[in-house]
Amino acid sequence: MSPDGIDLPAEELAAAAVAWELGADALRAAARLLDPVDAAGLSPRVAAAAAAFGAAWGDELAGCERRAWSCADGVRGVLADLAATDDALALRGFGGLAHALPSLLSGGALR
Amino acid sequence: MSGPPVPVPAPPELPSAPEAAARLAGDLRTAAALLIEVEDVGPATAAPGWRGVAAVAHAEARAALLDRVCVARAALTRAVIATDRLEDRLRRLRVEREALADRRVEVNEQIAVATSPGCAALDPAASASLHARARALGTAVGDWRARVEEAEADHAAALAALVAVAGAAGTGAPGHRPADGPAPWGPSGPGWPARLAGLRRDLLRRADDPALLAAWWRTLGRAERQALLLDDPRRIGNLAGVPVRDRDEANRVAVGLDLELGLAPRRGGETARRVAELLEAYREEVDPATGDQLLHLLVYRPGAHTGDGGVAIGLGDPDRADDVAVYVPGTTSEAADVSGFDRVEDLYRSMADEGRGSVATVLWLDYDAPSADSLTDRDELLDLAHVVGPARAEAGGRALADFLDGLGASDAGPEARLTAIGHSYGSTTLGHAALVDPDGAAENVVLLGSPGVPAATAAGLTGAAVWVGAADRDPVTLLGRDGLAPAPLGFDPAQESFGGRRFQVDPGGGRAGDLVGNHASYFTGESLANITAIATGQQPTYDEGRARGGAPALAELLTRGAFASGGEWLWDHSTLGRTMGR
Repeated sequence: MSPDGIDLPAEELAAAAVAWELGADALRAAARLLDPVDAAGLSPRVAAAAAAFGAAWGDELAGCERRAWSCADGVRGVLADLAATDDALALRGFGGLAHALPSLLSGGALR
Repeated sequence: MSGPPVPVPAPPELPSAPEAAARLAGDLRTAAALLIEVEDVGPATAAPGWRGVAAVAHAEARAALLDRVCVARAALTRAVIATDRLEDRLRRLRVEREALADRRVEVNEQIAVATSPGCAALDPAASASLHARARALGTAVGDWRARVEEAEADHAAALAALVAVAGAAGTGAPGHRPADGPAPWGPSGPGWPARLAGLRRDLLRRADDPALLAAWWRTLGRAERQALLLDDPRRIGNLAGVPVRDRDEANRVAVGLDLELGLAPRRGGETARRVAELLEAYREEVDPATGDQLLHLLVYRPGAHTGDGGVAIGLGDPDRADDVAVYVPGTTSEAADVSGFDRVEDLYRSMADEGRGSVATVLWLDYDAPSADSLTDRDELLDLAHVVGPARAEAGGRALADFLDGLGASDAGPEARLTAIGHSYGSTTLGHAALVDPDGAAENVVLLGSPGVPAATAAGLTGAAVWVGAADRDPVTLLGRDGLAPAPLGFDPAQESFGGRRFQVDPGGGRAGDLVGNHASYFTGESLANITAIATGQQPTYDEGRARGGAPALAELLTRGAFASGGEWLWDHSTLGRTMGR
């Protein structure tokens, strides 16, 4: 944070949010492939082992997916807060101008 | 030893189908590759310029999550390796079972003869021999059952060990990573990133030399091969010199990624969907020669060639087959509809029916074939302007030469007889491939319905045997230069002066409506029989080469056809006439 206000790398944060969302999509796809596994044609023993593996790691990847979405949401939240704070600072710093704009644009001084 | 032995019971069926293990391995590979995609986007989640308390919390959460993904990827990689091994063992066990079943039939027939009414009693020596054979067979079946049991138990144990790890994943507790196993390094070990980086470097150093690459690849262990394959499936799947089976596995991963990550609605999506349908249609088909899956995806590049895509799909295993035929289709061919695969299927059946050894046929469509939906569609004919230029054939020829070199390099066992077959514009492309690499891997070059090749003689084109199938009523074969007329695509290989070996094909009908059909009829009847003979090392029925002026000139053929069928056809094809007359 700079002494005069907030200084966050908005572009980096936006890129991070997109990357988290891509990662979450890939994690969901991987989890879906694993749980349930396609065990048709396998013996009961192999099918059971594959199903247990798929369920355990599918569950783990579903958890990872939730964490990825959580990270994406967190970063998006920071971005939203940044935008809101930026708006507030703009209003505070240039409040007079902002209040004057409607009347300026409606004619008065600029006519 | 009293009397003959009792008949030997049949060995049981395999409890797990190798194809089912292959599907499981494929799904695990795709899932592992998806996790690598997550790791690949990992750096983009960092936001290094972000400072403050929230940034620290994000960095900690990020590190923990990426570690979990890394552990999961390692576990899936180990499951891939275990399942790939199971698949191999099951395929070998199935081949062994068939051999045991054949032995059983033989032994039981002898027992049946010995016990048939009216048959004289076996002398003691013959009886002892028959008993010994029956006992040996019973022992062999017992051993086989034990190995089936062992293969399944090993696999189940490997997966069970990884299930235990999943419970600890994300906790950071000791043992939350899968053990590395007997290898000094492994996909989850601390030395793994450096090892993988070294493998990547070794691969890239050899990537331009299929023979070197193939020799190096053979030295890799299963874990190394699988790791490279998962690391960059799009490269490995299309790399000349990598064995066909590994290319196929890599390309199937790439198809899975495209479908799972939603490439399908975008450019190249049609190719991904069509290829996936074909893989599904052949999922239970087995190569009788090897016991492996029948269909292999040798090239998969859905976004190549300005979105038309590039594919090579084979039936049989070109690395292990005695006779291999590669078919290059021409104008109107699109990867998105796997154009020409029906011809590859017909040729495979025809070659296999000869019974002269194991066979493989491949559709190669990894070049920008001039597009036109139909030779009878007037609008599409405008696009035929591309046909009269050799640029796409030149570019395609270089790629085809690399592909054929790759097949030669990855060939295992006794050297295969490799026959390259080009049809229409594909024959021009094949001609350019032959010219680029005159000492290439192909033993036979077959030019069908050719509009021209880039050399005046067969000897000037290639050191391989050059065979020519050209119907005199196929108008496209009259586009090539016969020594007089300028021709944009090159020389007519059916001319006697070219020096190719022309074989007999159906001359086709003379009516205008037949002419286009004549160009598309080389994979039927006498022509298919002769192509089969060439590809399986037999002699086709020969035809005489064209003497200059011996075949009707193109304009004459079209005029004759138009008169035979009325003026409508000529009107409809006036664009074609103008285009071809340029």
